[in-house]
Amino acid sequence: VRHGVRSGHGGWRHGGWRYLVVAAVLPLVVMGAIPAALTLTDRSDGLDGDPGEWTAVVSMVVVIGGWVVTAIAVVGAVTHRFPLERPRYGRLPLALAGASLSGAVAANVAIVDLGLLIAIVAFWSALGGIAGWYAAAAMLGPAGLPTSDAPAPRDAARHHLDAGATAVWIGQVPPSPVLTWLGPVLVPAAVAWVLAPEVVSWAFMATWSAIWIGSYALSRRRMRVVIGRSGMRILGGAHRWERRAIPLEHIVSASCTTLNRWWWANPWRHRGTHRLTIATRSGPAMLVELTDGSEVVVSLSDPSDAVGVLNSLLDNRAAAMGIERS
Amino acid sequence: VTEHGDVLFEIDLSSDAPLYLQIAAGVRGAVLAGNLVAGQRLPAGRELADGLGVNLETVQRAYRLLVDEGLLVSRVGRGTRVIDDVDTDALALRRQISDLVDRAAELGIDSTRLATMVRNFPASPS
Repeated sequence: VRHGVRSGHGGWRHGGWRYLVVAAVLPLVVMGAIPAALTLTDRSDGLDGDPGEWTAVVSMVVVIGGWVVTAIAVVGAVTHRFPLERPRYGRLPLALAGASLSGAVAANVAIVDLGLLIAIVAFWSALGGIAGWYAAAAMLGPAGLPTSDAPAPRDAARHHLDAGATAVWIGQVPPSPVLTWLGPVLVPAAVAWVLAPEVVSWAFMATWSAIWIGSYALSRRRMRVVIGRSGMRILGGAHRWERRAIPLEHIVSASCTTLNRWWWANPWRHRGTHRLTIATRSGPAMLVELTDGSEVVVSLSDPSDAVGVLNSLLDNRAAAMGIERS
Repeated sequence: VTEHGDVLFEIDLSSDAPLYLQIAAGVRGAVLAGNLVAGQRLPAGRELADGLGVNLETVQRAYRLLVDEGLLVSRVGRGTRVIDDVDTDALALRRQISDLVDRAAELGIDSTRLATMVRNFPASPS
């Protein structure tokens, strides 16, 4: 284990694709920054307070500064100084890359029309790529697609509980990466709005701000799972309201599973009426089978202990009642 | 306590040891093992009590004991946390003393007699 990240897995399978995103953004930034800088340098009338020229100066500072910081972030990521697998590092270079790109776009909207074209192409390419991926996942199923972007959970040996002993396991449902990404998406919009208000409208910014604030609030409202003598409880919200309480007698067994991207993306097969799904992301999860045939799936960073404790509590309950559990 | 912040507590309901002392011992053990680190937040008392199937007062009593020992700090709105400058050496010594008292009790030696034995114990040559 290095920096809290499991070793022994390929970079692509464990967030390495973010490197490609950043690497793809870099040329766009350079393509935007150079014409902006050259155009500004060619101007010989100096800065006389013209708002357009001040915008150009700010744009250039944002573009070049953003480019430098992004380059540092990429080098840091490649040299493992800032492992992008960790959200706290992953968000920063992406946000900076987005900000610098949008700075380039804003600068070029005012100076060079080519920048706007590049931004539009880049934006729709990215959006189309993501939409296409999920469309392919929904149509093709798991065949030919990555089975997982996270390591499989370790084996969940039953947590041995002596007769008369009891245990409680308390864990958090990891936040959704979608929510993590919405923040960086807002940054380019905000920068573009400041630098090129004629392109980005108030309505656009208000919409994005509302989405971002909402998503931030949601990401802060992490759900918790409590497994104990009474069964499994799922709590959420600032005051940890109880969302679902499943008594121990309604539970058949628990197991570890890994949600692949197809699983996570497919809203039809796995979010049916007989399944409660709290799947915030692909990766490790706990699968709980209930006595009525339904299932509960909850994303957890490491479900092994939770599964072990729940099965042990079920064992003890069965032993106390003289029932044999398979 | 795992690297993800998940918490696992275990108590023995059939033991003669009071439940609040078992919970307190679990927290001390987690700090000693490095699973609970300085400043880390403990589970809310109600969550722990509900999960273990014990009274909320039992968990609160365990937390209060550890606050009195100087291991935890409890503030309104911030929950109960491990203190920032936790002394693990003192904690380890306290655990050894606890084990010694328990062993003495098993042998029928009360605390007064044990204290006398410790006081009269020859000092190390160093």
